[in-house]
Amino acid sequence: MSKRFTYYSADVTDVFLLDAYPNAKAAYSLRKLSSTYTGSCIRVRRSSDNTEQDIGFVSNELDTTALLSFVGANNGHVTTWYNQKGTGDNLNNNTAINQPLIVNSGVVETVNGKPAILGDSNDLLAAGNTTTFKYLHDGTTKASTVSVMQTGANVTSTHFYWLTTLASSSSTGVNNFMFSGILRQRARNGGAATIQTDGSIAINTHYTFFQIHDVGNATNADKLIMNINNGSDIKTNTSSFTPSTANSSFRLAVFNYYIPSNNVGLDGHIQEMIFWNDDYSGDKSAINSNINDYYSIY
Amino acid sequence: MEILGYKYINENDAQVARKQCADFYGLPKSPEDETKYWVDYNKADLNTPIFWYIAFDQSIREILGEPTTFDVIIEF
Repeated sequence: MSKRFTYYSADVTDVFLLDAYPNAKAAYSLRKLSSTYTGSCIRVRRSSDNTEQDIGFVSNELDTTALLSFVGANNGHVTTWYNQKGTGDNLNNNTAINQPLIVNSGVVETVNGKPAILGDSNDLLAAGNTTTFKYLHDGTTKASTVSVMQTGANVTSTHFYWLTTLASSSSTGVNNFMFSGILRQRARNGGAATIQTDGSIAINTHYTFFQIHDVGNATNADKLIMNINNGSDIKTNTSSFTPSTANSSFRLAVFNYYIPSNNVGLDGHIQEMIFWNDDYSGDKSAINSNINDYYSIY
Repeated sequence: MEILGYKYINENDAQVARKQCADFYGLPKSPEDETKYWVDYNKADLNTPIFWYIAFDQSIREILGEPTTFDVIIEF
């Protein structure tokens, strides 16, 4: 057991993830991840009159009572998914038809009984700061990410999260996209200079992905590591390429990879995404347990 | 990639169309709201010549009229 657990009870599943693993750059979730975070969870636009309202937490979960009281029998769209680090870099979208859904005709979107945000293949949420996530690409440090999502009916051509220019040319950056039944974790400097690791996935399936980005590692297989539902580590990269620090400043895009309305965004749900500028590979099982105890994924 | 939508040869025309849609739907509802637009435009910066476009959505047909199809170069 890691030393960082000594401050807590023996069971890490009892604690907030960001309290146990504090070096996150950003953390987005529909449950509370930090005992010290006092802000809202999401900001929602209701379809009836386009009014917006912040929605917070009750008992460390999204306040669905307040959410439904605000939205009523209509649709509720997420305009902002707040970063629970409280340091900005909120995920947002200022364009109505490309905002993902949290309430559908008066019913909260859920996966396994827990609230979830649904994309429709044309939606996108993006963080505005281009420097926050550069460590995922610049080869200078190890990074850990974890995400909780459910695939939709399309895992043949759909996009999950990217570091991107949000332009039609996205051949440089960090990509996570689905095609031909795999999730591809990739970093690149232009079309040919690419490292990637592939993990098999299925449609309409609930997943937690724990990923290590260590793109400067001298061992090719260790540059990008993917772990699906606490299974064995997947290390399929064979390329010796190392992304350049000169090409590492991008925005984080979730549900899609560039300005949307391109029909290739995620048609599934996302419940949680955490980006650590730290190596938590040794804590992978404990983090996965914390997540699975809450979301009942596997 | 073939896109169904509205094509503009300069950015200002795309901005005008975006504002027409926002005005139609009363956006922004208040100044502090996140939502500023109903639809946004994209830049086809890999095409020659470059152009701007708004992808079609049924909700904007009565504002911008009938859409057309055109090719946009997109690099994955």
